[in-house]
Amino acid sequence: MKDNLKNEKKALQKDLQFYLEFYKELASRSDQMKKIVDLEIEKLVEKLKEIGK
Amino acid sequence: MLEEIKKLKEQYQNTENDTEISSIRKDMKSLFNDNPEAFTDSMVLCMKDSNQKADEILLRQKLEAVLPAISVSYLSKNYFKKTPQWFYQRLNGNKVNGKEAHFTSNELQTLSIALKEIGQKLSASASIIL
Repeated sequence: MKDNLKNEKKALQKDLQFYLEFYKELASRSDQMKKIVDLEIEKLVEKLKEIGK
Repeated sequence: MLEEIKKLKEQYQNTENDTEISSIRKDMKSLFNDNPEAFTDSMVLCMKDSNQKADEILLRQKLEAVLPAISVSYLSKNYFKKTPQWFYQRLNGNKVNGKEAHFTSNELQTLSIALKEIGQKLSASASIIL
């Protein structure tokens, strides 16, 4: 994987880690918010798997 | 709230220092306690931003295999009425007038149509040969 792509992927992985750190706060707001957060996180995880393949 | 969270996220990205990470956690919890609605709304916007960035990286990754085989100059001029520089600025997310340039959803649709049409032209040419 090229260095630039590696760095971009690393930055997005850090983003994901940041969101997961505060998952409890986000998901506790409402069931609807939990669904939205879960969906956004799931999309990001899937895209991270694809990057660099 | 959004700007404060973005700033803390940037700090979080650039540190491995435990004390700094603890301080970021504390600031984030304090923002949440101040206004849980604004906190969650801002975090969702940040997530959407990250997903958009991931989409752009994936697009660039896919196009890296295709662009050397076609003329970006032709593509930019005929489908977008723009220069190749304009195209690459958006593809690479370069800063233009201090702001990151991105393709709009309409431009992405145009790009998709352009690649399909170019592909069809190539296929038609190939079928004439054999």
